[in-house]
Amino acid sequence: MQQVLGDAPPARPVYRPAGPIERVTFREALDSEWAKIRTVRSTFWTVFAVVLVSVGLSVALAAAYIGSWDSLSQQTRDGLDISYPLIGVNFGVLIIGVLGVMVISAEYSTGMIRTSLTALPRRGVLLGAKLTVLAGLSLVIGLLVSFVSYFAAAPFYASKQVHLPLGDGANLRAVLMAGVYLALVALLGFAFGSLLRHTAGAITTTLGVMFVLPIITTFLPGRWGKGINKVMPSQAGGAMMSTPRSNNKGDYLSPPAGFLVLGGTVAVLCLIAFALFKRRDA
Amino acid sequence: MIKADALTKRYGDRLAVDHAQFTVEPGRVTGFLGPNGAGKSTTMRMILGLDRPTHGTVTVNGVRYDRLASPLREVGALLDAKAIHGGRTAYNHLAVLAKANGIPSRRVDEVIDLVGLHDVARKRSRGFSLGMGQRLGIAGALLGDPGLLMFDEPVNGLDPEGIIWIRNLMKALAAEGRAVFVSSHLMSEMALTADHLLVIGRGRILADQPMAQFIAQHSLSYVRVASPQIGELAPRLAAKGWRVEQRPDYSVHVHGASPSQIGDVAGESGLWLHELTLVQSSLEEAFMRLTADSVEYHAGMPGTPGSPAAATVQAEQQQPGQQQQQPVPGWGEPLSNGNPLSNGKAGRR
Repeated sequence: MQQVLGDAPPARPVYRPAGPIERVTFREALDSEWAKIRTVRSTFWTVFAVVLVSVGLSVALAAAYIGSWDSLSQQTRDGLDISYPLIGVNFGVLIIGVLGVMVISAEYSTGMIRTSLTALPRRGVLLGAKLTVLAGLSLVIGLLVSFVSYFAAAPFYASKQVHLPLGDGANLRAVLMAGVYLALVALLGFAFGSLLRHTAGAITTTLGVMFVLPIITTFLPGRWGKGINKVMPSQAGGAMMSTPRSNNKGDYLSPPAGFLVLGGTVAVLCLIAFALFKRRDA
Repeated sequence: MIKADALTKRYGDRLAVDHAQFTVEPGRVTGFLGPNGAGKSTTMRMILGLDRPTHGTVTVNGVRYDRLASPLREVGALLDAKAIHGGRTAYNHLAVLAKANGIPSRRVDEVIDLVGLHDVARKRSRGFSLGMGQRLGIAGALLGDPGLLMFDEPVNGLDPEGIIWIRNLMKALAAEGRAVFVSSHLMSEMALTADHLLVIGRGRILADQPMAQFIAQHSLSYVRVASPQIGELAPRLAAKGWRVEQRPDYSVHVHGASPSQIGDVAGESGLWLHELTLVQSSLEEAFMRLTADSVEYHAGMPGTPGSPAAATVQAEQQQPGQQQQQPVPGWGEPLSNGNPLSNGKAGRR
C-alpha cells in the first residue's frame, strides 16, 4: 500500500502547558515577599541596628540615671516610670522606619518592581503581601526589642527601689505598645516609600514627620497648638508607652487614644499608597 | 498570543504608541523592530500591565495581563536586565519569582542550568556583567515554562556566543509552538531570527508582514554604470531586458543584471567604462527608509521621484504582492553620517 503524502503543510507543534495552571493565591504572594525580605542583607542590618540602638540606649540611659542617682531630685526620681527602660524605642523607630521605606523603595531603585509586577500583576495583592510581611516582621522585632529593652534596663532602676513590674497592667501594656509602636512606624515608612518611590526622599520624609514636625508643633500657641502637637506620630507613639504615672502633665493622649491616632494616621497613608500604587504606571 | 487593539499611550503631549493594532501568533518568532524611542518598550510594558494604555486594549491569551491566573506560567518576559535587585543572589531572585506563582523550586535549578549561570547562581547579581544579567532575566522568563515569551532587546550586552545562543533559543521556543515576541532596533538581528515582522516608528505600526515578504519587497540591488559613452551604452543594456535608470551625471543604474553581464555588453560594443559598481541596499536601510520621517527625508533629497514614505509602505502592506516598490535612485548610497540606529538603548527610568 502506497503512503499518500498530502499537500497539507507539516503540522506545527502546539504548545501545551506542562500542568494545570492554578490561580495564584495570596499565600504564594506572602511566601514570595517573605523570601524577598529575608534574602537581602539590608534587612538583616536594619533589624540588627534597631535592636542595638533601642536596647543599647535604654540600658545606657538606665546606667546614666543610676550612676548619678544621688544628684537626682526627688521629683525626677518619682517621675521614673515604664517609659524609661523603653526609652531606646523612641530612637529604634527611626531605623525600623528606614526598613519600612526600603522594603518598597528598593523595588523602584533597583527596577525589581517591574519584575515583581510581571509575577504578581494584581497590584493590591503585591502591595498587600508586602505590607503583611513587613507588619508581621516588624511587630515581632518590635516586641522583641521592647521586651529585651525592658528586661535589660529595668534591673538598673530596681536596684534603686524603682520597681516597674510587668504584673502591673499599665506597665505590661506600655511594653506591648512599644512593640506595636515600632511596627506602626515601619508601616509609616512603607507608606512614604510607596508614595514617593524614592529611598532618600522617603527616609527624609519619615524622619521629618517623626522628628522635625513635633519640634515645630511644640511651639504652636494655645490649646489648639497643644492639640496638634499631641497627634503628631512621635507624640502619639509616646502616649502609647505612657502610664497614668507619666500622663499627668496633659501633654500626651491616653495610651488607647495614642494608638488610635497613630494607627489611623498610618492606615490613611497606606490607603492613599494603595490607591496610587494601583493607578500609577510602574 | 497577544492581541493589541488601537493600543495608545500618551505621555504628556507625546504619543508614545499610537493606535497600534497587531497580533502575536504562536509558533513563530515575531520581531518588533523600531528605532530607539519608537515605542517598543512602552508597548511591551502595556502588554504586561506595567503601564496603563491611554486608549485601546491589549490582551494576552484573551485576557488583560493582570487577569491571568498564573502570569509566569503563561507569559515570560525579559524587559531589561536591570529589573533585578542586585543584593539578591541569582538563585534567590529566581526563587522569589517561583514562589510568587507556585512554581516548584527544582525548576529554579533547571533554568539556571539552561542559561548557563550555574557557577554564579549563589553570587549576588550586583556583580554580574550585562550579559549575565540578560541570562538571569531570560532564566526568569523561562521559569514558568510559558507559551508566550517576550524579550526586549535581548542581545544587548551579550557576547557573540551569547547572541547565537539566544537566537537559537528563540527559534527553538517558537518551534515548540510558543509565541515569541522580540524587540530590536537592529534589522540585521531581526532578519536572522524573526519569521514575522512588526515595524514601529514614532508609535505607529508601519509594517506587519512575514519576514520573507518584507525582504522581497525591500531589499534592492543594482549596478551603477558610468561611461563617457553612456548615451550609446544605455540603450544596449535596456535591449537586454534590464531596467535602466538614467542618472543626472554620466551614469545609469541597472537593475536585474550583474556587473559582469554589463561589462560584457560594454566590451562587445567597444564602449569605455569608468565605473561598474554593485550597490546593495541592506535591509537595515530598508528599515530606515520605512521609519524615517518622510517630510524631513524629502527636504534633504531634492529632485527625488517616488516616495519611500511610510504612507506608501503602509498602502503596499495592505495589498501585499500587488505592487513592487519602485526603487528610488540614491537610496542605496552608503550613509555618510553613520548609522543613527546603532546606538545602544539607554534606560528610560
